[in-house]
Amino acid sequence: MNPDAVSGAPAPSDPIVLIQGVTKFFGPLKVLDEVVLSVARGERLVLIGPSGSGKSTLLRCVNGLEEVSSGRVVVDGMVVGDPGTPLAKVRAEVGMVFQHFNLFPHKTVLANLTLAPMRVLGLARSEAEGLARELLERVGLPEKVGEYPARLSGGQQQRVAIARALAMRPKIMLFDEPTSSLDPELVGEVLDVMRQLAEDGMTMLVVTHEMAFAEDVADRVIVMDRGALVEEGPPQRIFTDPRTPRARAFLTRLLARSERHRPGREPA
Amino acid sequence: MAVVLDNLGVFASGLALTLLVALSASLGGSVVGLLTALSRMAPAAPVRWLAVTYVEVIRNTPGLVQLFLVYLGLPNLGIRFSPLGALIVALTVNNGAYVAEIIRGGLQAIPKGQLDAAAALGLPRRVALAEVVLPQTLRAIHPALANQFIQTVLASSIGTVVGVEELTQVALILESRTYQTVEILVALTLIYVAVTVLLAALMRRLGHRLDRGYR
Amino acid sequence: MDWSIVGANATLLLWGTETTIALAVVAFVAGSAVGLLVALGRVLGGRDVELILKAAVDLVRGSPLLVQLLVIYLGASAVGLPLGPFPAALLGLSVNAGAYLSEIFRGGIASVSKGQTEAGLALGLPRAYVVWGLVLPQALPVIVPAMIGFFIGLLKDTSLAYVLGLLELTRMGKNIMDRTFQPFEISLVMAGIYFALCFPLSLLVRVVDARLRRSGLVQARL
Repeated sequence: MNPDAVSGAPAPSDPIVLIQGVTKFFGPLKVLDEVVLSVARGERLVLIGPSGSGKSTLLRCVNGLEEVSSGRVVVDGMVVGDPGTPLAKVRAEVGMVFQHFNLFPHKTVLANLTLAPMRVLGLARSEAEGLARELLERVGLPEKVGEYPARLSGGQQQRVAIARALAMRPKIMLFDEPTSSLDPELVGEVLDVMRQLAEDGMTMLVVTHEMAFAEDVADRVIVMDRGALVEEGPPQRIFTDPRTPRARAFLTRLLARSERHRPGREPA
Repeated sequence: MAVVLDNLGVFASGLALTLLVALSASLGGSVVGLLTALSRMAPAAPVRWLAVTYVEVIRNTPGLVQLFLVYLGLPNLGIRFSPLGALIVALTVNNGAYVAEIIRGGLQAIPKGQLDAAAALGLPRRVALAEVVLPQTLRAIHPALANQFIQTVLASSIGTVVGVEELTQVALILESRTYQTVEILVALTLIYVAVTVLLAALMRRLGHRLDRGYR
Repeated sequence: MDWSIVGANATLLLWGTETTIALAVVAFVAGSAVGLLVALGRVLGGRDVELILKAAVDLVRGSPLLVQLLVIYLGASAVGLPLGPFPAALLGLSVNAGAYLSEIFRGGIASVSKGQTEAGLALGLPRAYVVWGLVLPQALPVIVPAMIGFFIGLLKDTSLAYVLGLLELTRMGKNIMDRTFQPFEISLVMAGIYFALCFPLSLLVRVVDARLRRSGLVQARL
């Protein structure tokens, strides 16, 4: 590990996220157990695992929404939670998309997108609005500029949420089960935006159950169980030949379900 | 009913004072309530404790006793108020505690995801409070605040005990002069009912304006 | 500040407190009975019944309790059926309680999911039974904390019987203040007594509410 990674300007080949022996407790419950992980710039990482395995918690440790009990998270050379590094700086580099979208319901789509760039990055209103329109174009919703979130479908809200996170020009995007709250027919439009993002070279950490997406887009799939990284590898290998028993158990259940629902499959 | 019609001016002046008192106490109470609600989230424990104590003491003692404390008790400590002043002060302090609880309820009702999103965007606490938390809280609590205002209008009637010439007092003075007890008291009751019904309708209208698009 | 007068007048304050509690308890029981009848009347009765009862409830909730007490006390005397301060206060507080409690009952009934009513009716059960035997029991976890909360309000509201000259705690305290010229200490003690009566009940409301929420009896509104 390059010592420069923690001080001064990191070298471009350095991992953009370093998770070093992170353990997290919620009261007596150990949710993360000595997790070690490094994410390269431009890498697309998908985290899968049973519920309660700590995937979301791990994600939330990256942008400081959860504090680690021990260990360290380093994002782009900054130590998350370090007294000398304001969290706002870390969060400006890390965008997050939530399962329940969390758009601000009392603000229009435009206002949702321009709030943080104006207040955190100090952009002028015209700049922020220009950026917002550009991003809405990118996620396919340019006409929704003046709408309130309640008028949008779930898929549209999530796409706006992605645009809102992108408005901060982050280096990394975190996705916490972005399609789990969506009706099935709306999942595709969100995954398409995410695919495009991946193609454009964004570093992405995605917690999801969408296997097809993982297969298409992920450079690496990581299986978590009970707070620990159980197995990792390229998606093709993980899905066809999981090596550890826990990964195998989880994937068998998961793949059996998604097999049934894959369109075009012959009935048994 | 002639006595009522002949003295509409009297009722009107009483009503005007009632509304003035209620408005002042509500505005003052809202400021006090907001400060108290924010104090409950303060890092310093004594500040939090003070806020909680204030709310609990006010909510567990009668308004009339609070009025006596302000009007009759404080002079012992050298603080003197006119009857009107004492009424407004007592109702403001009273209101503050209830408004604080209303705000607290509204804050708790905000989904945690909103705070997560604001944090993830890097919004500083003050900005998150002003742009995300308080606007949503206001939209959630305005019916309760409207109700609190109406309760204050009704509560202002305790002013009669210390001689403030709000609606109830002017009616009672009229009654003692003319002995037309039933007519005056019926009119008094109906005026209060009419006022509260009108205020409730007005505030519902304003509330809808606040909710436009959002719901 | 002389606190010894508190001790000297302790018996009087106690009597006042007893009157306060008696008023509150009786008015609460009477008001609950009236309130339940009104609520059921509004839920089960036809449009005309609902309109009349709604008007009555809105009338009581739209005017100050203080005025209602005066209406009953002075009005009774004016129509030739004089009532003493205690009965007048009791009647006024009971009617007031009835109106507010009827809203609590109605709110509780409304909070039970419509599906329950529909299921009961679909089974062919008569409407009255559905409301009384199915919905109302499920409404209790919502109604009970609200009723305790209302009782606390009632304890405080008895202080308004002051205007009828009734020797409940506040009037008793005022008399003592006038006699001893020490309003600050006495009003503080009065406040303290009310607080001692009300605060434990406030805590009880929170405990009961939390307990009921956890028990799963209170269905989460979607």
